Amino acid sequence: MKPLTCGVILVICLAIAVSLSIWMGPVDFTSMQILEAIKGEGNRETQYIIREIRGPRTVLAILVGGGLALSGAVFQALLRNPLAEPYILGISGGAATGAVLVLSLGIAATQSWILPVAAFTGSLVAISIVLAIASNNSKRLDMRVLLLAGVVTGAFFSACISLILTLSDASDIRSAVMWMMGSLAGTEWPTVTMVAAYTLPCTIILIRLARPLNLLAIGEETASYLGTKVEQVKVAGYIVASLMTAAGVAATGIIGFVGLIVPHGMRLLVGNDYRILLPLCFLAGGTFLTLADTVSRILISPVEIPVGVVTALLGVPAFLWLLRQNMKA
Amino acid sequence: MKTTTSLIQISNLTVYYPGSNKPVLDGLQMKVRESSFYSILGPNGSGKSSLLKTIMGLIKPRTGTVLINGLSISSWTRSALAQEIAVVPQSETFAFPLVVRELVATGRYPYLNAFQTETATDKKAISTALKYCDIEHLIDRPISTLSGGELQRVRIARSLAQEPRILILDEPTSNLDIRYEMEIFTLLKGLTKQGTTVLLITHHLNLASEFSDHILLLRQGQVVADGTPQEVLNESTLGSVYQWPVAVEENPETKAPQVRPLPKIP
Repeated sequence: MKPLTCGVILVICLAIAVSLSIWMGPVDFTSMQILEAIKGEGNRETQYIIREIRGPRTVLAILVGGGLALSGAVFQALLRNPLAEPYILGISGGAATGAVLVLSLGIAATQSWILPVAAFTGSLVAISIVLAIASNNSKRLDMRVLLLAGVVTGAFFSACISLILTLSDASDIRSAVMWMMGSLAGTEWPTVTMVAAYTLPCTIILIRLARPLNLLAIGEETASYLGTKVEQVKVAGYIVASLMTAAGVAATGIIGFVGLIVPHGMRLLVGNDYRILLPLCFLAGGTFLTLADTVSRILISPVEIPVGVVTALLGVPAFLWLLRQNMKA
Repeated sequence: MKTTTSLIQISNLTVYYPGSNKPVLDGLQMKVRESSFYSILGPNGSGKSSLLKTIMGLIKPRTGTVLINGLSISSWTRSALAQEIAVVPQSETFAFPLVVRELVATGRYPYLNAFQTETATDKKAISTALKYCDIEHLIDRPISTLSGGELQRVRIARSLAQEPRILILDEPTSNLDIRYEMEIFTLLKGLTKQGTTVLLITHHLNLASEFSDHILLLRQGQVVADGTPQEVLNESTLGSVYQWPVAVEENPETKAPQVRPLPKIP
């Protein structure tokens, strides 16, 4: 598919997803009521639900979904591994552990920057552990060892989260289920602003790295010969993609497999040139998570399913299919 | 007027791998002149690929200097170097297969800023490279679907899109049948006629002999012989370097020496 055609279709899909997300929920509104509420007119209660509940939630879904999809694609190039993804690599788990730790100690409430910084630190600890386990003496990463290291590291951090939450008596921390399966419930505008402040600059930096990432997907030696400062690009890529993941996780908990499903869907549609792939991944990731969140709200309404359950139900079969494809090759 | 400046000049080069006290390159000297076809021969493990990485600044030598255009390798930026020297590495595994046009276009990356799109100059360099390697009909094919010979031509086209003065290739014809081998050697010879300098690492003694202006023969990181094919390829040198008896005869048509391995007498 032509990149431009694909981009236009994705923008239309995103618009549809946003409309559905605003429109659907436990309370039904007519489109007239919704338009009035957006303009700040009409019923106060309707205004509140549209502007303060569904609005921030939808914007956050776009930012977090876009960010997770983009960082998934970046990790895939850096690690030369089509199955790499923030959740599978344990990076989301590390970020969530950092976030839960500062929340339970009560220090996150004092300064707004502490929560994302703690999540970022956790994500860096996770990626360092995984890379240390997976790289052997020859400095080559074994694909299977890498995945195993990521999954095991993720399991370890899940245990840490449960432990911290069990020991903590702070009442305002959301539940272990929310942290481990992700949720966009209760999103408020300040959280959206925080995530946007990290996600948007990170997105621009990563898209700027598209050419070097194309080369790294071929190999580090080739990338050097074609003018890339390999070490600089790798460090920048790991740090920025981890930061973007961490910002999302600090707000929503661990939402898995978005970074796997979305990049692979896009690869099938537009190919593997990262200059095209990365911007489209952001759009598609935002669309995907907005839709997944809407499904999680309406499937067995009024009960909400954690959105990570929806992404995992779709993501695990996709992962297994990709694993089979790659083991054959 | 033909200039005879040295594009690559290496003197007294000694390279160790970390933690090893046996040099992979040992007091090496070499000079590559402009528009020449220069081959580097030697047994497995003689230091050919290490030499390539040292020339390209990926390995730091313990002693000695590498000068590219008279300038020390350490003072080149990676992108400036990529505009001067293109390399076709021995093998590449593509994590995500690009299509042919995309892969060849990566040859222009050294010339482009992050958000800059291809200029007319870039497009021309790409189409010239595609045409020269006779792969225009393949441009939309994913590289994972190409044959070995096609893929090598695509990788060479990528390096030509860099418009380098020097092209270095590490065993580009291993795994290829004689037709593709001859196609690639002929293509490289044609490049040298247009002013590109070709530096070829190969195991093909006979093709190197036919096509090269100059041959460097390595053994255990040291230069054993350095000169024209006639000067380098003789029975006693080759016999001792490869540890196998050979006969060297002259090709009656081209006068190039031809090497024939002999059965070893038990």
